[in-house]
Amino acid sequence: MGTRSIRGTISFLLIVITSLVFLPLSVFAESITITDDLGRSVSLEKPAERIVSLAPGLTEILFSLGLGSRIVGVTDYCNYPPEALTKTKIGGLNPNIEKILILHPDLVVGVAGRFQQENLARFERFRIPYIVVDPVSLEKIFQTVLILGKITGRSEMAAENVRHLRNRLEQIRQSSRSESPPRLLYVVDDDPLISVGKGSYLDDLIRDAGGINITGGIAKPYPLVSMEYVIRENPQVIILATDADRKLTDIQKRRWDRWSSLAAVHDKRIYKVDRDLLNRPGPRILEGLEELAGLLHPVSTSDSDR
Amino acid sequence: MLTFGRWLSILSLLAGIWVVTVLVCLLYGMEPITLSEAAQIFWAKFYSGDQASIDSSRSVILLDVRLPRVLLAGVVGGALASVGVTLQALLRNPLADPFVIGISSGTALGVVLSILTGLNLSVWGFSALPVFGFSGALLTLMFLYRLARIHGRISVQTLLLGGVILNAMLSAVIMFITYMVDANRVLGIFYWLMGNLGSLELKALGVVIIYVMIGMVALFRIARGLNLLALGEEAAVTLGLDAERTKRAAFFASALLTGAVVSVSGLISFVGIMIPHVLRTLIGPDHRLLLPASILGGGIFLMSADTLARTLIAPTEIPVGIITALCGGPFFLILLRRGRMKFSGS
Amino acid sequence: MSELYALKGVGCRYGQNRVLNGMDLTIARGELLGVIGPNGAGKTSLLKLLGGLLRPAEGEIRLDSRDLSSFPRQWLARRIGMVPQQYSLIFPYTVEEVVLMGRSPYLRGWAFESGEDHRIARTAMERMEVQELSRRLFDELSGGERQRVIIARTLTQQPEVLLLDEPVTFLDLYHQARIYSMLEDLNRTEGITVVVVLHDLNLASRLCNRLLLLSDGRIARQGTPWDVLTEGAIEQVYRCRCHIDSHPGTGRPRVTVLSAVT
Repeated sequence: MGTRSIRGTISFLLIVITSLVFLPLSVFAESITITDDLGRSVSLEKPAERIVSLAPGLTEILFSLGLGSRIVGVTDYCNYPPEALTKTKIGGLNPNIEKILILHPDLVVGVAGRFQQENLARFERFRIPYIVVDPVSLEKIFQTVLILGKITGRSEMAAENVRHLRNRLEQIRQSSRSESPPRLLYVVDDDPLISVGKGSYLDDLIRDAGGINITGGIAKPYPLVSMEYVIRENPQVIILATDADRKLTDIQKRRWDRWSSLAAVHDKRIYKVDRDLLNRPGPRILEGLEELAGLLHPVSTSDSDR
Repeated sequence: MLTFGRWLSILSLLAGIWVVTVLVCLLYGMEPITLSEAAQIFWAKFYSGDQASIDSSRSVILLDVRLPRVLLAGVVGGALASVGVTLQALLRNPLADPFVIGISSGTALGVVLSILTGLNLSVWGFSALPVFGFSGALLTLMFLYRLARIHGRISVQTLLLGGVILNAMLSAVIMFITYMVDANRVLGIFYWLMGNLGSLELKALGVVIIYVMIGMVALFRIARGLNLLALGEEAAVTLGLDAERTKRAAFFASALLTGAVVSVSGLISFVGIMIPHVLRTLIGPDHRLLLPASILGGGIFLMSADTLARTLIAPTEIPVGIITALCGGPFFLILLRRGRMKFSGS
Repeated sequence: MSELYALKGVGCRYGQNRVLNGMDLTIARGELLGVIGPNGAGKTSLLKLLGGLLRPAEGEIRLDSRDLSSFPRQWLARRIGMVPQQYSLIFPYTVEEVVLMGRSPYLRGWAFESGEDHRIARTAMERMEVQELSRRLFDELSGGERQRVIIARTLTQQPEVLLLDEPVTFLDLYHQARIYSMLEDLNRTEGITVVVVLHDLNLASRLCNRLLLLSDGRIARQGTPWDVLTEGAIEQVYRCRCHIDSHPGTGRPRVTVLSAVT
């Protein structure tokens, strides 16, 4: 053999030895895998550093895990906490894929819904890890917190948060338990009259808040309801979740005052809640729930303002 | 052959059916009310003033929920049918109705915009919604009018074509808005667009009725003119008709009626096409009879459809526009098969 | 015979096209005037002008010494009846209803037709021999039947002027002959002024006392049939060579077309 072949052999051996040394080491590298709500398995080699959120609720959850600095993109609707407003906006329900790509995210999180198929296809094409959650109940919201915690290396914090949330929920449930749970009408839209029925998680929330949803028996999540039915059921409380303002508009006052035969009107128990609190599957949902429970079960003489 | 006797007897018959329909619709519902109960309630409300009776849930349902609703259905159905009759005569096309020439969509767009921008101001406690709706109708109308004015006269072909195109464009805009809007709002807009008669109180209904009556009076005055227009515009002119004035009156009255009712009830289709057609087959095309008959016929139809809408899957409701569309489709298919569609040319 | 219509320097436009030019014409009361000429000569436009459907772009038209456009529509409709060349009817009106529409100029507002109106309509239908069809739907009739119904409708207007645009296009010989004798009759016994657009030169020659030959929107010739129907005039206007002699029965000029001029 000549010099060349000796050098060749040594190089070859070096390569083999190096691989053998590093191969087992790679086993010790942290790769994180979670299963999202669509049953998909999503893996990251290391905790996510550049996250794009496609839903306001998810943004709130991420912030609640102290991940504010790792968020690189949010939707136009993400407005809480205030820091979220400083983040780059990537669009609304149908996000702008180009804006997302420019941000070089290593993780995108979104909720199941309208643009599901398109988003799945897109992110797959560009090989961006994409987690889809479907937080249709409180339990699912807690799961989402845990999933997001895991994928960002904040599992312990997530677990802690969920513990707190569960405690709070239990407290609310306990204090709302009553012998005669109030019957209520939950109004999503005034005109036409739309309420919540079976299959909507708002229906579950009402139960958690210790109330009875008079339209809870209707099999559609957001049914059109006839006023006749409402008169017959005669709810004791009416909750208007029609817009973000806590004050009833003149039109709304007029509209509901005319039904003076309803107990809720008679007792002036028509309240407005911030629909963002209850509609957003995030940690603040418990604030909303607390408020709802408080309205349903007023303590002492504090009447809620209109 | 139209004689006063025939006119009176047919309209009396229809009026009778109308009254019976009102009664049936008032009594029928999730909560069936018997005739004697209803009589008691009316008595209490208007004569004896017995507060307990008035406040009972039955009474509230009958007087505050059903009565305005049934009456509104009667008014809206009548208005839509009479506009259908008028537009078909004006445009010389049996498929014309307020939908087709885009006025309904213009109204709907006005309303949707007002809901979205939250410019739901209240004027003396009344929602400004109908004002937006009516403005939408009027703007659409004025745009069409400008478009169709050729050499100072209204060209009906341009009106028809322009209306169809405008309708398509406006519908696209409405869809676009629905697409872009915050998910929270979509549902409300969607349901409203499909037609809904449930939300008016009697006082507001009164305002609608006033608009509708103005429109109807205008139409009645041109009823004979509409007969003449059926012969063709030139022939009508040789028979002494002021065609331009008749067309203008027809046009504006149609816009007023459509704007007034669509802004409170959403988009309810087919009434304007079906009712005139059915009645024309039954009682003839003389507009002096057809117009008032359509008002009654349209009312009867819509009141019935609305009662179905609110009782079929109680306690939830089907938007009434769906019921009318479900009736309309098969209706025309049957007619087509029987070859009875009378579009005649010379 | 007094002057009914007087046209001076009348020009007319349809959109951008000029259809009539420099028309100077008088029509006397009680005349039976025939308007002839090739297609596009402006015959229909002239009729529409006389009926008040078209406004002159230049010149003036006077009816009874007053500007035609100063008369209210309904008043004109009681005096002038027009039978158009084409018509269409949408919607299923009966023959009776169509004929009665001719009474419209006499009705006000929402009125129903009176017994008198019905009588007049019936008379008109009998005259045109369509009274058996009175209950039938207009659009189910044949072309000829419809034509007669339209003429009946015009008669119910009880006009003093009848303007007809090729009224016998779909009629068989029997009905053609009947229409013409009816027109003659109306003209002679009731003094109705008749202006009729005709295609058939021989018919025009036989029926009318005065003819108007139009060409390219202008009056090429006017006068008695002998004045107007000359071989030279016809060759120039119709681009046809023909032979003209005197009809043995009527004594009127008889036109026989020989060939086209290429």
